[in-house]
Amino acid sequence: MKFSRKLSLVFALVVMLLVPLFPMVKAQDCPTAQDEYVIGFANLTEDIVFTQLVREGILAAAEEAGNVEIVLADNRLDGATALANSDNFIAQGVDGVIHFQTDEAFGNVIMSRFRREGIPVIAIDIPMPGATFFGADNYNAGRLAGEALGEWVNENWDGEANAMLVLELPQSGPIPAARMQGMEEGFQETVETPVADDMIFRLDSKNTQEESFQVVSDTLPTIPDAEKIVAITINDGTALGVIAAAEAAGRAEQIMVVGQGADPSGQEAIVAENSRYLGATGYFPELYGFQIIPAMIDLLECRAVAPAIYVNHVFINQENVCELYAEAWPDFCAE
Amino acid sequence: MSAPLLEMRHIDKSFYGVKVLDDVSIDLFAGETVALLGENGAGKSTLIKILNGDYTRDSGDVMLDGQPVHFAEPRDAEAAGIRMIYQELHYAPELSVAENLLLGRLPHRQGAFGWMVDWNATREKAREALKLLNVDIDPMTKMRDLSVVEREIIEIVKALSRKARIIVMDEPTAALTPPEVQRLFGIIRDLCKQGIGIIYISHRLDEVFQIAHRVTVLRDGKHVGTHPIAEVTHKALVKMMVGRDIEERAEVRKNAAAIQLGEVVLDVEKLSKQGAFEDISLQVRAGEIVGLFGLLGAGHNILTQTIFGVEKADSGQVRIGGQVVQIASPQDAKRAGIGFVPLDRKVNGLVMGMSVRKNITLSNWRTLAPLGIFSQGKEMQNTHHWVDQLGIRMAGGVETHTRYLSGGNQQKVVLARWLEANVRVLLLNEPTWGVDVGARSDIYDQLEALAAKGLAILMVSSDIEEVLTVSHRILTIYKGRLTGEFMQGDATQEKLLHTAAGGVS
Amino acid sequence: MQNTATAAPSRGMMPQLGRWLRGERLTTLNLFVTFVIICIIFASQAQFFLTLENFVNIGRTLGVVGIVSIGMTLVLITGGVDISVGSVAALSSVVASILWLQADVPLFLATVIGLLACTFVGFLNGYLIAVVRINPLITTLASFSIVRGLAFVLSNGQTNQLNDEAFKFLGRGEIAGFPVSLLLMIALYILFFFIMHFTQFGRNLYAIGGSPDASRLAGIAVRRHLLIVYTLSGFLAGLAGIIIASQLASSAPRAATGLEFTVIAAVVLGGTSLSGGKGSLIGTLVGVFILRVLDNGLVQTRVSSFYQDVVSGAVLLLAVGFDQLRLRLTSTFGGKS
Repeated sequence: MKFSRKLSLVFALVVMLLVPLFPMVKAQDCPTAQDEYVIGFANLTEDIVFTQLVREGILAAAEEAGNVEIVLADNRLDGATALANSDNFIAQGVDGVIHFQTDEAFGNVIMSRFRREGIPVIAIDIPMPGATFFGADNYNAGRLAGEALGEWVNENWDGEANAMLVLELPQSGPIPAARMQGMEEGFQETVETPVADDMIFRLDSKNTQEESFQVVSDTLPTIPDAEKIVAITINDGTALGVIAAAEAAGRAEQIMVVGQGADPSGQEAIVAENSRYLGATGYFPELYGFQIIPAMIDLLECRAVAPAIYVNHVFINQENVCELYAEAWPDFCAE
Repeated sequence: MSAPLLEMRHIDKSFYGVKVLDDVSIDLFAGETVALLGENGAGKSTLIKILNGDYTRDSGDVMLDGQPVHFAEPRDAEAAGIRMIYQELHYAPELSVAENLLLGRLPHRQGAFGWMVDWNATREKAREALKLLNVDIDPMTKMRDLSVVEREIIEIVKALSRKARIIVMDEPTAALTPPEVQRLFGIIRDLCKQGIGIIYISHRLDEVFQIAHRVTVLRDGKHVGTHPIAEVTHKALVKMMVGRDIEERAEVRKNAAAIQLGEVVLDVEKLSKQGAFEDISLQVRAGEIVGLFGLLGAGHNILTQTIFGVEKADSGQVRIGGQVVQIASPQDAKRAGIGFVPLDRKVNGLVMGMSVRKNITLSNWRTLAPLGIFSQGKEMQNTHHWVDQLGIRMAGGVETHTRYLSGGNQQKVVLARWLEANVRVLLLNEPTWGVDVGARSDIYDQLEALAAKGLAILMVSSDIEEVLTVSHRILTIYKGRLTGEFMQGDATQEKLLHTAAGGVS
Repeated sequence: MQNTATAAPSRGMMPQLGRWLRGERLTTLNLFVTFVIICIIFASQAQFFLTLENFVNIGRTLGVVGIVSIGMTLVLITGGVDISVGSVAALSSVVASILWLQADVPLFLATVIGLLACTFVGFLNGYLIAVVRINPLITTLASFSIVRGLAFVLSNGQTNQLNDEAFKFLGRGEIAGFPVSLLLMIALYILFFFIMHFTQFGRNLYAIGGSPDASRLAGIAVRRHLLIVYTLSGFLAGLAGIIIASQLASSAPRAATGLEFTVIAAVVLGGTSLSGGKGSLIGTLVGVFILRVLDNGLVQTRVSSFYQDVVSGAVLLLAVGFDQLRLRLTSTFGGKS
């Protein structure tokens, strides 16, 4: 009996080891797995460039995957529309849904429908309970820009700046705040001599170029002796306003700016001659699809997916802009 | 007689150290009508506002039934049974007659639905109130759909519909036609019989002689006198009010035949406008004043507006100095040499928030500003010329806003504007509506002087005395058609009223 | 029993100016005192407030609101309102940049065409208000939205750089140490002050706002005047848009968002009545200065931006409220019997 007991123990061990492996080995036992998929994509709005690029990226990624058909919808920045689109997706029998909708209050209702139907959901930028999150990693996106600015100061201004302008957007809540915090901390922890607290000027950009121009114009006279000024800004437009203000005051040489976004107007300023726009963190909406579609297929085929997937942010500056956007700036990149 | 219903004794009132009322007294017995007379600025309104609790008196006593009273605000006066009927009407245009009559005290339903308005009761109550004046108006009509006359009547009904002891009427007949005036007088007499006391303010002395028992005259804030109406004459009253003799118009009238008439300047031929007037032909010569008399709504007001281009005619033509002119807008009329003094100078005639100077020069940039830029010196010079010429009286000089001028002076400013613009034809709509006796006389003098200088004047009026006083020739209009023509010497009140009411001349 | 507070008739070399000073002296004086008090407070609180660099900066950033406020003052005096100015300002630079960048039109010509587009929008506003007789608020609310939409459609929502030295001169350049946009603004104020106070056209605008009916019956071409005023407002808003683009060296479809509120605030602060017939460009100019200096000083004293909005609103209420109180006191105690 000694032997048979040993044998049964070994057998039990083998079984115990094999049982959890069983479903992974047998993919066809995943109830949602199929050869071809229909995936619904409800865009935030079709009215702005950013979301248009997201849609184009998703369609391109679906084509690349080969076995994915996309059903499109437009949430029109409205929770009720998003809910109606959800019902429509269910009626059309989609296998999975990518939702880009703005109203957190509708998240629960929308998700309860999909949960009942067993349809997996990926939510872009605004989280929904039970959905896989995909979006910007705001704090780290900010840090990338702040660190790059810090390194530039270390190399060009002997590791010290006299003043820092912080062009923020206080009325718009936690997302811009996380980016600003990332930029500020990234800079202060990288630069050799951090800027003293009383030389940090927090200015409300109100998200417009003119307002940023105005508040920076008003601030520059209060720091007449500062010859090394850094500015961290919430987006490209705000950064351009800062640079315009410094130019108008005849102090362009004394300022260096980083921002967030790197949209075409920002890139144009980055590649300009004697640019005072060091660079901006890219968000690559056109690449969202190439991360989202594979993740959705993983979900549908019952493979493990992290609860939150973040955009691969890159700090775009004169050195790498040609790798990413060579066609947009032929003159600059030809050199 | 027992104690008077109302006594105001030795009332003083000053604004900014200027004495507006100086030892003024007035009394009123139950069942009596007292006319309160005086030129604008004589202190009538101030006295009435003190009675009503709008202003507080500096010194003096107000006694009701022999008991001293003090009204801190109009509500107190209202509670004591004092009612005001103002010249300027206050009403909600979008609400019905019934709602306006019962504003703030609409009847509510009984029982559980007590929070709901009882519309049937509202209508009934309003109907009863309207019956008092024998007014045939549907209580559910919206206020804005009524004519000016009807609105005024509603205002009177409103004051009467609540238990009143004293009623103060400030020029209640300004907008009424003669038959309506008589109806109002009937009502006033009824009210007196019921023991109500009436203070009646008017510029129309003939009315005062018809309705008042006694008359109190104020001048420059002082009490000139109080007399039973039987003891005063028309002329004496005018002298008390104005402080000087006013030339009898009859004297002027005698000279009418001697007036030299020039060429036909304004020639209106077969002018028609649907629903307003039909087939109107009339001529006015240089130097002539033609009075167009009609009851309110006869179409004469719209006729002058049409000649001036405010309204469009359907057919017919207008010649100025023999030339046919196309007038589609007031600008065209101005270019053709026509001036217009509209009915309601506060709304249509003057920019009240602008100075006298600017109002006078408003239409006249051709002479004053050849390049569109004002010549300052010339503007002042011309302004002062007209101020002197027309006797425009104001404190504070030509920079005073026109809203601070009396009605007569306001009317002179409108006149001055057109004279400054060098017009050949002057159209006037009710030129002395709400203008006091002294200023009225001034305006008549001016019209005559202007005519003598060769201006052609067409004056539309519903005031029969005025038409008889000023016109060289009088036309009557009834329901949009001319019904009679009289030379000054032939016209009488009876003839004019007869033809203006549709009778054959 | 007339108003005894009015002064004696004027004499002297400049009766017009003297009269103007008397007529609106109190309002404008109050306002000017307010301005000086604000300056004194900031001078004591902000170390660099009274520096040449800051004066130049204030001058440079004054032009946009200042120029649009001229048109708005005229519009309010006629008893209307134009809330489309912000959108119209965005349109001029968007049109100019599209023509320059995409159709290779020379930048100067492109700018002129942009200005013409704005003038045309103003003309349309005026046509709808004066001829079709749609309420000014509704008309300009509609064009506010339509023109902004148009700016987005034309630019595809993109910001475009306008890197041209001559173009940037308008918004950033200086002549003898004075910012060009400030000089332009001052020239326009002098021109329009002259028009408003010394020409029939200007006086007619006051008359129209005071009483449209009386003006019509006085033979004033009311419709034509309104048409001109809204057209001017469109043109001036377009000009301000070009200055914005020149300062920022770029054109953005969302430029000048909310400009209408700042402008109306400045004009009303300057004593112009929203109900028409009353107002002055001098008052407007002081109003524009007050709002700009307030922003400048609050940024320099490092007050939180949320409080800046609160303070600007409070100053507006205080100034206008005080003036109303004064008016009420004089009319209560100085009125006729």
